[in-house]
Amino acid sequence: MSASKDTKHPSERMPRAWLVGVILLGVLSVGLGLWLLISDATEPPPPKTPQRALPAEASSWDDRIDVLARNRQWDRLLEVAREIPAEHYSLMVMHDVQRALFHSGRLLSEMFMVPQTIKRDGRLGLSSLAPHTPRAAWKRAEVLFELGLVNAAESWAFVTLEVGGPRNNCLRLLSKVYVLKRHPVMVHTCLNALVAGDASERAWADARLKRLEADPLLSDDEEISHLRAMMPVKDYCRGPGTIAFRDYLLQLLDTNPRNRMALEYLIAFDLWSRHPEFVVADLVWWKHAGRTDMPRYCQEALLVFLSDPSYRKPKNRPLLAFARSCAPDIDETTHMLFREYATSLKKFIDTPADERASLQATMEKAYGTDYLFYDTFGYSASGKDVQPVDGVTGASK
Amino acid sequence: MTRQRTLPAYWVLAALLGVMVGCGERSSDTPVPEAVREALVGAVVVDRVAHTFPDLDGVTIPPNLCPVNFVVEEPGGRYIGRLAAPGGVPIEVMSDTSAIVWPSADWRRLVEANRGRRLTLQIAVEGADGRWQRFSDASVTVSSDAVDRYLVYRTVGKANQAFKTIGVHQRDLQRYDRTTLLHSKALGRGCMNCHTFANGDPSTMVMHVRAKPSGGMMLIRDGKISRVDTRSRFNPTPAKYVSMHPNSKLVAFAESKLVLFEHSIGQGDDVFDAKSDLGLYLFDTNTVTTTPAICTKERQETFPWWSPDGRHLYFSSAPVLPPKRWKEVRYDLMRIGYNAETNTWGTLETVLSADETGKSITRPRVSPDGKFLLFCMSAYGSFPVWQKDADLYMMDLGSGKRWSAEVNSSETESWHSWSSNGRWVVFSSRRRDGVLTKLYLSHVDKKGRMSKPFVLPQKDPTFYGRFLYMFSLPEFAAKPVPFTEQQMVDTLKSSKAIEAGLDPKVPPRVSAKELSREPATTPEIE
Repeated sequence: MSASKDTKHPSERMPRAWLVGVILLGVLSVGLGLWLLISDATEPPPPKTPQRALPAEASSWDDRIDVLARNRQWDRLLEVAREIPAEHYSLMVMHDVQRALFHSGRLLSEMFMVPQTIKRDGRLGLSSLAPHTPRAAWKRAEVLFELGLVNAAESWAFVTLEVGGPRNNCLRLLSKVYVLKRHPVMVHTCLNALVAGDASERAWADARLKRLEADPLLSDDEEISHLRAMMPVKDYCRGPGTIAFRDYLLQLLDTNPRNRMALEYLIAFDLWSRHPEFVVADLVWWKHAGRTDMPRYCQEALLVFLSDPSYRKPKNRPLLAFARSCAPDIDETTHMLFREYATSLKKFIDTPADERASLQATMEKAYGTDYLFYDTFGYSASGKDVQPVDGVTGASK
Repeated sequence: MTRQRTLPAYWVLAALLGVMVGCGERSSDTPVPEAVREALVGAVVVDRVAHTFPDLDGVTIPPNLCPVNFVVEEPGGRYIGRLAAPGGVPIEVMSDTSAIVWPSADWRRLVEANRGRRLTLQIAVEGADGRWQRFSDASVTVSSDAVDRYLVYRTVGKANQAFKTIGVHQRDLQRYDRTTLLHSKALGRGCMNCHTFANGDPSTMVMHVRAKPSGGMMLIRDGKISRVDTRSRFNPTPAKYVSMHPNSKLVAFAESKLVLFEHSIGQGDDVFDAKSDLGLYLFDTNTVTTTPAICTKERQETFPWWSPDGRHLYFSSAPVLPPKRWKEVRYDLMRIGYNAETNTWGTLETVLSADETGKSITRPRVSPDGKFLLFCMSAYGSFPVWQKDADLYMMDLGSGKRWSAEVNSSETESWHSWSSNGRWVVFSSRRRDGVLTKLYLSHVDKKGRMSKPFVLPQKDPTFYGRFLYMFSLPEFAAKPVPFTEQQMVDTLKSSKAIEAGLDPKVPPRVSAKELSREPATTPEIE
């Protein structure tokens, strides 16, 4: 082989490359020094944006609640939520409040203590949050993941990335999705992307990779094990068209009747949509999951169902029989509340329409946080004037 | 002001660091060849080929391709890659990371000097104990068949619901340069798809854009760029899945109604084609035309593709079924004769029936020499890219013999395209991670046999390890697209769309009132 200039091995050209490098380095060092000398060395560094703003410093109720939700400070979130005027209850806030109620074990006994209204989408923010805003997309991804809807969570996590939502949280979530879906290369890709975007995540990513090396399924990880038991294992696809919100939750219960979140969100949805017959049907799942307590609002819905003659149709016989079998679970306080409410309601119905307003206000004061009131009037907790939400922007009109 | 003054200081610092890093690439007290030689001589031999990404053992590469850099997927502290051949000087790289990046000039010389020959790839890894392990040699064949210099493809987010991260790019295959032809960001929000050009020449090209307020078909022709509203009283929705006729005077297109749906496990997304028919758009007369044979009510026709002589239009066709029977929809492979001189249609033929294969046959692509047909088969439907079982199949059009393409994996293969000399195929596959499609290249021999594929090379071989987008719609091009993104955006935003007319021989399907000329805002699904 000839040793012409062009065919010289790279290593043979190294001294020259070094020389050029050193000269350039010197020239640039002098240049840099001169520039720093003439530039304003007293300029303060740009202010750092805090990673997590404190709730008290947040600019709006949405922001304050969002920060608390991201930090999973559920009790504090519910405390702050009590201060929010009904008209400031956006879908974002409602989504987080209901999630906080669930995580505090209070969803089915306190959901009507916040301003619910039938005029707004009651799918707990899963469907009506303006889908293409970063925060909404991320909220969807997060709650779908918690429910066990791993495929849907994956999809919304990618939407979150697409619209520029919380990147690190999202990549962490996606890495978990791919552990669950058994795509180890994708787990690495997500963790690499996480570290590439934010070097401070390296420690977490490295620790995760180390654990994955020892156990690719992360069998000893509590969150992963829980989700693995909840995620669907068969395809419930019924073809083109949107899946109804109830069907999503029923898929999860069919997969695992002990999916507490799916069950409570299902019952909450049926309460919100004022379908006591569905609530009774949901109680089958409740019993099946081994739950012996009966939440307050379920008791109220059960009484509504048992007392309403319109449900006494032949087709409802099995459901009626089941409802009657559940009746002993209704406590005396609820029975008493129901009797009082029935009396008030009769008085309301017997009053001429143009004289009902003050009576309704009195009833709202007495029963405004009960399902019984919501079932009749379609709002709770001063939520009468809460406006529907713009489906595009997510803002209250 | 102060900020402006300090900015150059950062640039200088960056340049300085760049120089240091540049010098550091070769930094070693021991000259590389000597260190490599020592390491290889004293190394423990491992009786298997090293795991690398891309997997290069047994692949065939074009002689005009950029360096195929790779990552050694073996644990170690230092890595050696050595590429040797009967002709030329071996290239040796010692790296402190698992990424082996070949010097471009050396690569070019070595590969060019070894057309039609095999290169030997040696890989060694230094373990934590300081001892080197040398793996069995891998072999890379350099084909004597060059590949088209450019590749035009699309990157898209997996969810693709906000239509904010879709981009059509042009990649120089001899280098790593990537030019964005059009990105949704430039339009605020939008979708672009179905770029096509005849014979690998983008001097005449169309690309569909769906964006508000100014989508439509971008037509590049005779050195000009224009925007066409392809909707007519035959096709009230814009054209999609276009194929440029070899005469560069018309495109075939599908008019489809695609419906998204989702699965609870596996690949989440799926698509149902609720209605589709085929038509032609003739550039010179600005007319949409069709024939009853390819737009029947009883069947849906889609994925048109011209034979290289332009005398046949290949397409997929299936009986119309209600959405709830989505799993039963299987497409036959058809073709129909066409005379572009007289705009007359010939005989309709079934090339391959779904009854015979038991699978849905989609996306026919005839090789430039007209000898082979490459197509997709999957269990059902018209959207193989979302089906794990989707594979590529080759058919010898002379004998009718067909076979599963040698490049198939257990994951999805789809979106395939021939190079202009017919010796290379590019396709998308999920084989790497089961989730995100990447582009793979494969050599095709004279018998239609495809070589082991390799992923589209990147300058930084770790690139795919953190890239969270999908690649699709690859098309080879011999020349670069003659317009810039800014020119395309200007055309879309400022020019008035040329409204296509309907051939008087084609009966209208909708009234003039029903034909909305409002911008199509439902972005295309791909």
